[in-house]
Amino acid sequence: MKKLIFIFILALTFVGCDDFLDKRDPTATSFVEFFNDEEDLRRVVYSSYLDVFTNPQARANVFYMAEGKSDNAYSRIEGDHHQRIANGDFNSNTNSFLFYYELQMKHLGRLNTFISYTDVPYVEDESVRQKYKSILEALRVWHYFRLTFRWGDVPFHLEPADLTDAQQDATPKEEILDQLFPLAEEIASRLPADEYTTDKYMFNRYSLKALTMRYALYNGRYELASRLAKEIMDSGKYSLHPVYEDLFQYEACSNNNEFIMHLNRESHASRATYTFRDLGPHYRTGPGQSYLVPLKALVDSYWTMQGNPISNCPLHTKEEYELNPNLNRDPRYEMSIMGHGDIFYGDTIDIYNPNNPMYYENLRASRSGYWFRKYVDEADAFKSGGNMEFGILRYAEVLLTYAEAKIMMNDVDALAKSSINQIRQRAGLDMAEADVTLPKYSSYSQQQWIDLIRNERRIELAAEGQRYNDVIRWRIAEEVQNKPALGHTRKADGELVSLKIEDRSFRPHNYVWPFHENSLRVEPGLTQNPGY
Amino acid sequence: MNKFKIITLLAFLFIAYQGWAQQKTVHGTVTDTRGEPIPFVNVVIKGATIGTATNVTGQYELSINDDVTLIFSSLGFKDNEIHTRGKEKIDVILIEDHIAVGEVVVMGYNAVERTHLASSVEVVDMEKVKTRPIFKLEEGFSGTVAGATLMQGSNLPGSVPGTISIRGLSTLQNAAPLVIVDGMEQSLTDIDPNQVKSISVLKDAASASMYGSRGANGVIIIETERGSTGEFKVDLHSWVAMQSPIDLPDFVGSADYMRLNNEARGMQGQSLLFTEQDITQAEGGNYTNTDWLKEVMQSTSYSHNTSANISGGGGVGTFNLMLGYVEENGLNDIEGTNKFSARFNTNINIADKFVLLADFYAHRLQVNRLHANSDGHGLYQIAWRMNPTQPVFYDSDLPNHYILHNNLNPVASIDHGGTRNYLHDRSTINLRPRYYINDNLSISGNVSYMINKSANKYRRETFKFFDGDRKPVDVWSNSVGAEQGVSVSQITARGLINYEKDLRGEQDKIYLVLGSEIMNYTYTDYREIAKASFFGKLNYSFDNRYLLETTVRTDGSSKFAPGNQWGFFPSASLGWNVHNESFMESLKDLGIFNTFKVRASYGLIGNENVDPYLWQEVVNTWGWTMRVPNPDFTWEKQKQKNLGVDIASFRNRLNVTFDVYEKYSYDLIYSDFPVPPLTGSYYLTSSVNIGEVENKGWEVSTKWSDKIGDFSYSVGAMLFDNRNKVLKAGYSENDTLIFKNNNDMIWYRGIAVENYFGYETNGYFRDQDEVDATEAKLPNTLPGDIKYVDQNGDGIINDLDKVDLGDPFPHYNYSVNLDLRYKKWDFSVLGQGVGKRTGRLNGQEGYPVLMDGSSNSLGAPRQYYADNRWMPDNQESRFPRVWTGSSSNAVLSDVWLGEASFFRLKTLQLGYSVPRIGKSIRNVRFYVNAQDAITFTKWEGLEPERNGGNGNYPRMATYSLGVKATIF
Repeated sequence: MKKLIFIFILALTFVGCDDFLDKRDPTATSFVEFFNDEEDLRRVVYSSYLDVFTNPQARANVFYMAEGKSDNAYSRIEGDHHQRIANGDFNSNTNSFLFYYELQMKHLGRLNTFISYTDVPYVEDESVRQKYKSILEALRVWHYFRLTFRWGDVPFHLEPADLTDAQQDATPKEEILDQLFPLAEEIASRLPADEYTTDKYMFNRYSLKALTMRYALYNGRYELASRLAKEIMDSGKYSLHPVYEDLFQYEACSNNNEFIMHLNRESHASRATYTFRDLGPHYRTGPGQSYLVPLKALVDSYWTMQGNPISNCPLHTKEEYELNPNLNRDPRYEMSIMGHGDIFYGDTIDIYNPNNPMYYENLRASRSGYWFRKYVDEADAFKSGGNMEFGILRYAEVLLTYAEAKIMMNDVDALAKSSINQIRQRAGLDMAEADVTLPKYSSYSQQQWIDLIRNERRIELAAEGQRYNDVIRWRIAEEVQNKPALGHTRKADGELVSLKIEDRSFRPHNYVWPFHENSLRVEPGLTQNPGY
Repeated sequence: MNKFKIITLLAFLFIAYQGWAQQKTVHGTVTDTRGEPIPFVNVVIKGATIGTATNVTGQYELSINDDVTLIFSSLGFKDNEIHTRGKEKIDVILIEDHIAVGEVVVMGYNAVERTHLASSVEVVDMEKVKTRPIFKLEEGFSGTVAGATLMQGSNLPGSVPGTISIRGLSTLQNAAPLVIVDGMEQSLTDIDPNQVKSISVLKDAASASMYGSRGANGVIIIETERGSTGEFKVDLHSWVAMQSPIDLPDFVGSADYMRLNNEARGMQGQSLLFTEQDITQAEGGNYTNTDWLKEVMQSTSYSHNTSANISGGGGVGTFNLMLGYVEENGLNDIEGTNKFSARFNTNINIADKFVLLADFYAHRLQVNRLHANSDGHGLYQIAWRMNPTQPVFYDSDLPNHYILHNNLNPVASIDHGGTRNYLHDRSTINLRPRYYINDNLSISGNVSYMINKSANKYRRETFKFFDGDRKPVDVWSNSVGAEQGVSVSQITARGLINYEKDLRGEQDKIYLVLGSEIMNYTYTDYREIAKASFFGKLNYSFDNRYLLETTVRTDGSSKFAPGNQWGFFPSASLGWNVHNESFMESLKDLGIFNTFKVRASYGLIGNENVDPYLWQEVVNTWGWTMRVPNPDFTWEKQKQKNLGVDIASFRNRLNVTFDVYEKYSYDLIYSDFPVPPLTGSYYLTSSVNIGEVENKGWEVSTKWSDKIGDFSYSVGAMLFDNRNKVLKAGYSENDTLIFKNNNDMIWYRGIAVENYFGYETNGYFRDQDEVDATEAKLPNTLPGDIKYVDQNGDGIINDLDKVDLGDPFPHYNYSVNLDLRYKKWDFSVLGQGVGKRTGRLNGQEGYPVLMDGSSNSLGAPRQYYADNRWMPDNQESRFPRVWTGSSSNAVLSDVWLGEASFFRLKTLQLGYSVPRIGKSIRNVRFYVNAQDAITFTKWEGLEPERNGGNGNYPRMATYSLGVKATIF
């Protein structure tokens, strides 16, 4: 009996052998295991778009919310990473910089890995594999365009990185750009020229050229920008949609010939879009949260119907225009913005009525008294989510870019003027006065042309997330973003009084973003940008 | 229950077998050590139900069939087992059982007499704990064990009050100590103190190393009550309590709120919200002045607890059935918890040398919360976001016309927000068979199974909100659902060999334990953890003067990378019972020293309290490598030295214990080690073993107890402190370690394990000129804002200017207790305090507004802030100017740190005992108790046991009334 017991105990002790302790995560797969066929390639491209560029739910990333970083608009949630950049209340400890930097860099790391493995999956048609590979490479170029524009010198690495590679020194910005532009054009030549019938959001030849054109303009490479713009114009694939308003409503957002880079339903697998929630007012039981609202500075920038700035109009005084933005105004104003006194869903907006949810001091109301009308369709007023489609880059920008590049090269040719006219005409301005081939424009100095094209761009692309980039690259931020954020204006005691949201400041070193303190500690190869 | 039936059947079979043999009679006399006969001693046959009792002269007579083992037991004496061995007359001497609780110390795998112990073990006085109105067992550790601290921030029903910290923080992972209940590892939160017999806290490496892999944070051993032979009784205990909040915030009234808001907005150049007329109306009481906290705390919270322990025993064995019910109601009709628990412990004597301890336990804990307040604190966070100028209802005749202020209305959340009910079930089966090979050697096993399940359901009916013009403005729609939580099923199997022998005629004693154990946890979300270990422990006492204790343990855990799963943890300790030395004889005779023990220990223990699978490379189906894998991931280790002295003197009236220790932890597990983003992993973290940390401290506790006639008293005090320090924050001495989710803490050589890493300040800006003249400032600084010191003079305020501002740990923890007893009355006081602690005025306890990263404008300032704020004519104020919106003041600096020391009367109890009522009711005691009733502190926040916050369930003082009685 005793012997049996001893043997039993001994057996018990040997139960704890290594197999027993080998427990692995059953949800784990290895990289090679899941990367099998064409669908996996597509999925990888899809998720590389979704996480950074095309998620309609991620307010920090979706293109229209970026307007909140500029003097055009106010973003009310600090955690959306726009507000502090707009009001200048940031330093190297502000979370936004860590968020954007890490998001892009870790996607770069992932893209590098995917690109090096694109030969692994089984694909029936090799041209499909090449297409996906080129799109991934194009995404990589896009990331670097953005990184260099924001931070300047960043680590440049095109292979999968291990810990040592990941801590390498930053490469100077110009060096990176000198490699990127030719690389972008080369990738574009590999991509199919026609728009895809499915997966339209993925890069094709001309949409990549358009993106390259945009960043060429941003980085002051005007020759390249104008050449690429001309190539796109000459291809004949795109044209301006006749009605400006419909581009941003359900009427034409899905069937127009103007969008070049798409953010369509396929790009996020038909999730809901949230433009009404983000931009729209709190109306009855609807979902509007007014997360992003336009400011007085944008409202006042709209031309008069004749194409003149409101401070320089023979018909009315500036004060009249400030008090009533609808008076004799560029038709794009009422298509893009609505405010106190305008009609929404049959009701007149009254921001001064404390009983009304739109009262300007309410959390869910607009503190400026204005809302964007672009992307805000009344059909979405009571729906929890919409299904709108967007153009991240459209043909109008190509025309504007060509004109601006030519103006900056001091070579305002007929095509440049015609581009401006096409935009103005489509907008509905009174071409008898607004036509830039008229004699009064022929005596314009370069600076006057610059002011004209800059304001035209501001108006045309309002609410599309471009303004901050423009303000940075034109280096006018110290002037325009050092002013307080103002809203609706009315007359009180004979004085013009505007709602004030906040004071804003922009210091000379804010043209580049700081690296977050955590990034500096984790990547010793980075040098902090000056002033931080 | 089936198992119990089988065991009873076996018992009957044995008895039937007995009946086959011959019948004979055995008789004798039972006396005590002085030769006096003891009446009414139970005499039972081990393994059978037959028994008798001694008569008035101590004699007994019993018919038996064959040779059996007889058990002699009586209250106040140690049980004595004697085999008949063919004899017919057996006289028995019973030894008095005056070994009090604490003189045999339960170490987990065996029990050792305290005089033979060479390591640092402390026993909690359970009687005190049972009569306190505590809901979670953690609360019983505050001020009762030297070296253990518990900071309780709120009294939320159904939540864990805090983490017990034993001898300082030495890990970046979960720092909770290991808790073993009857040999099974589980959490101690819901154990009913009425079911607990003893709690031992193993503090140093030598005692805790028996638990090798998990002992680095200290070990708490809990034994539950068992029955005793020959004594059938029912113990009843019931108390009712009422709670009242002690940390309500002092927010300003509406007139002051309006003035302060205007002041803030005026300084910031924003348009004012309130007119002078509004303010005058508010002064006169004609304006809304809502006290939101009062609106939300709708009822007084009551609670009650009843428990019944039914126990008894005979020859077959002993049993104890413990039933308990505790109910705690919250501050409104919906919130509250109740728990029903049943524990059935039996010792079954199956055969002469074979005993089976079979324990069964189940509890059901139900927690009811508001759907809008499922974490328990949310409702109060919302109430803190309101301000007094906001009315609850519109002034209209519509019923339930709530106003939604910025989408919030906490009163509506209570009445129409819906409810959420949580259900937590636990059931355990614990079988411990033990076979006595001879008097000294036994082998035992332990197989236990525990299952923890939880589920919740929620329900909210539709409710419509209307705006001031009676138009619909929001709808809380119907929502109904139920979810299962992740359940975990835990199986433990252990085999032990136990050897205890007195050598050299009771001069020496040796205890030896050898064993092996395996554990397996399986979760319903696919995770599985397995652990295996082998261990051995030796206690040797030479001449009761020199003591040696050594332990050796090796553990393997599946959480670590293959090849790094096993760890080896040895320890040794030496003790010297100086009082038994010949040269101490004279001092002993004089009564100056009764006990004088010196002990020293040194050991290596480990910690593996981390999630599984962290070492593995995991690529998800989107191609993300979730974290950078680490094939070298292994144990966290700790070396601990302890030196202690135990003295009892003046005829055991004075007891002093003194311990000093040093813990050195290395290879710390850090599961969020940041990696550069270009590596392309999703979480940008890796799990590594990094860093070294040191904890040094000392503990001293004393107690004096004496008796003068009918009056007995005892006074005790304890004082202890712990300091910790990072020795290495990375792979080399000069590395620093940042915490991605916490910019207010950092590690580098010499700093405390948890610290405040912020700016040093130098007053407030006097005026706009000074702001303009200063280069080094944060953006958007205005007069009245904090002036941060630019440490490196580079004109920029950034991380390079942050310094170590202290640590949040409690220092110089002390407690005093006083027990008085006079005839039938007893009075006791337990006071607990912290001598020094740097607390942080976090959230709305410090800032005048809620800094939430969105509008930064909700909530009202505290009266304390308003009275001490900066104003142009009050430059040297405690706090900066009042603000609303984002501000450069809302970062960690020495402005927001303060002294959080306190002294709190934890227990104030008065009791009256009645020895006998009627025939069967005895040992009755009535008592009243006030818990946490009085606090002395200079802390500027609301509650010195926590670091500020943005609203939480209040901290309560509990007043209770209870009665205990034993029936039969």
